[in-house]
Amino acid sequence: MNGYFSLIPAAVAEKIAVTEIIQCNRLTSRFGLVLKESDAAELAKTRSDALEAMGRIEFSGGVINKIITAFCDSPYLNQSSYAETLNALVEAFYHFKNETLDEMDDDELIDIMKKSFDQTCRGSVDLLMTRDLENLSRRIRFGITDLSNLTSDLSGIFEEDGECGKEDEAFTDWDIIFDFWEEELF
Amino acid sequence: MINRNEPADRKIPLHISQKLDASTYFQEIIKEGARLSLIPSETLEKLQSQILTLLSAAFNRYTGGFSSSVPLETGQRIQQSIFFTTGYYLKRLSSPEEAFILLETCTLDELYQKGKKRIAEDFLNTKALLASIQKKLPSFDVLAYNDTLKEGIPLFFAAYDADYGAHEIPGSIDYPLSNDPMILTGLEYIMDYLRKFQLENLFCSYYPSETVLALIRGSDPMYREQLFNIFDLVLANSLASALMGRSALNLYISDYDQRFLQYELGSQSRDQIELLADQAGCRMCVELSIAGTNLEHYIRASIRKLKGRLWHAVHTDSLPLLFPSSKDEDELNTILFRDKDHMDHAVLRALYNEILSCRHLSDKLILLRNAPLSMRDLTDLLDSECFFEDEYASLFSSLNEVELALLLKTLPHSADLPSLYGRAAIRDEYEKLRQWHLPFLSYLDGLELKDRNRIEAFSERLEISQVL
Repeated sequence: MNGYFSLIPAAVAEKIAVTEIIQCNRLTSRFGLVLKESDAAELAKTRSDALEAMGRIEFSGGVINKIITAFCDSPYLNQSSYAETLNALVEAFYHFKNETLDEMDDDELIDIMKKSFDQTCRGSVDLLMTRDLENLSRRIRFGITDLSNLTSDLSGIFEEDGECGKEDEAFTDWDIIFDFWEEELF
Repeated sequence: MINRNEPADRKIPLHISQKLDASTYFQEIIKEGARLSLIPSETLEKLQSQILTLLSAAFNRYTGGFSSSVPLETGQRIQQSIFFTTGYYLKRLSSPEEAFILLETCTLDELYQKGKKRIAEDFLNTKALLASIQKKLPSFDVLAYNDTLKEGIPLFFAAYDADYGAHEIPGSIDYPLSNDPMILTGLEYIMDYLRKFQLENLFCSYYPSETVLALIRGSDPMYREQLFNIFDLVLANSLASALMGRSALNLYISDYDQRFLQYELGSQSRDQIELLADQAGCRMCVELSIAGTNLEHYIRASIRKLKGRLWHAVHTDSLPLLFPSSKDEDELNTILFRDKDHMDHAVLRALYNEILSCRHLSDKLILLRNAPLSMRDLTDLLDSECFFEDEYASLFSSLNEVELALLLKTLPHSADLPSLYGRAAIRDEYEKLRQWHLPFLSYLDGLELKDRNRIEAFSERLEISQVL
């Protein structure tokens, strides 16, 4: 990644990101959530690491700000775990940006993350990543437009599943098969 | 920073080639400028932040402002496109020094916009160039040649994305040029390709198209589907002619000429052969009155490549491959055979079972003749052994001359031996043979010599389309 974008100063981009993150404290302090400069720097680093790991590039700290703004009113966030949760959410965001094949806007993805985090996952980032967001990306990849109820997986959602089920049911009824043999073959 | 104390006439050596593609050229200008302090450090910093701004704006346009990050591949593509567009403009300035001045005085966005404007102009010019080439396109019956010009390159103009993929070459270019280092990218490559293509056609236009066609036919019996450069072929024979002291306008090289050249050049060293080729090239350019033109430069570049091939051909006694003899149309006018649609697999299988169950040969033959078989189906049936060995003679006698020639064409062939004898030579290689192959060859052996020769000659001329 660095080789391709060697003309772009990474340090400059990170500095801008830190400044923007710190500016968010004005909004989040209302909810008792504040990030120190070291937390902001760590968050910016998490972002660049996640981008590199996911094979993506970004040119501003915009997404971190959006995540902070969206999540700051969550009842499941408190100052002691605020920075840690934000780091995990930033990482999850880039991971699922790839997994959803860039089909979702930043705002749409953050909105779904927030809703799941607050409602079905009850503040668990692990559950959010391993269940809801996994289900979301699977739905996007299969071209399913119904993105409600991300807690359930895809079984039974395809017509084929239903048909297969019927076939299985029909052929487990051995009496019918024997009758068929008798009628047709003998 | 340029050292003002240095004498004005002392030039700093710049390692920037005009042959680089526009994208690399832009990066090299900045790298060399930084290395030789031709771009001041504050300008470099300014450039870096301008690149960042330009990229951010491009990414925003690309994502419609809905996504702040893009996959690395997309990022690389957009970045390369911006570098290409800017480099495209800088490369067309009179010198790299002028580019350094512009980088100081203009913003990168200005240079990028000028590059876009220049690309848009050249795009239209290149399209016009293609149209003029298409109008005068000689009718050489070579698939890659025609397809590239009539279908492949027009695709480029339909799909070229000057905003985010200015450095890309959509379209399909199969026909190889004589001199194509394939360094350039994007519109630059297509422009260069078409200009070279035009030069090659100009050279070929010095020769009657029938003569060029005869030479193409002589180079390879399957010339229609081969990937080769027509200009190279004409140039080689023209050079061979000049080497023998004849007119460069003569393309016919006989077997005797090939042997004579082998004898003449066989005793020479590599340097002497290359010198003789250069001298022959000079005589050719004088005779064609093209000295000092772009065509001469192009021919000289091609002769540089040809010299190596010439030495190698002399060294390995393979001059006929380099200087092929022309073949007249009558001598080898290939007939392209396009097979019928294949029969459905289930229907063919039913026919096979039916033939197999027939008691009399006459019934089998009636079934075979009445079915709408393609040649592929017929060979499949023969391969599947639904006839007995003593039935083959009657079966083959029921086939017409074209069918027999086609069957002969499908037989494995021993490459060293010509025609029927080549096929007879594989009789000992049982693993390649099907049950019907030997009876078929025996049937042909049993025919009158006149008939056999006719079938054999017909088979030689047949070229079975890929569908079969």
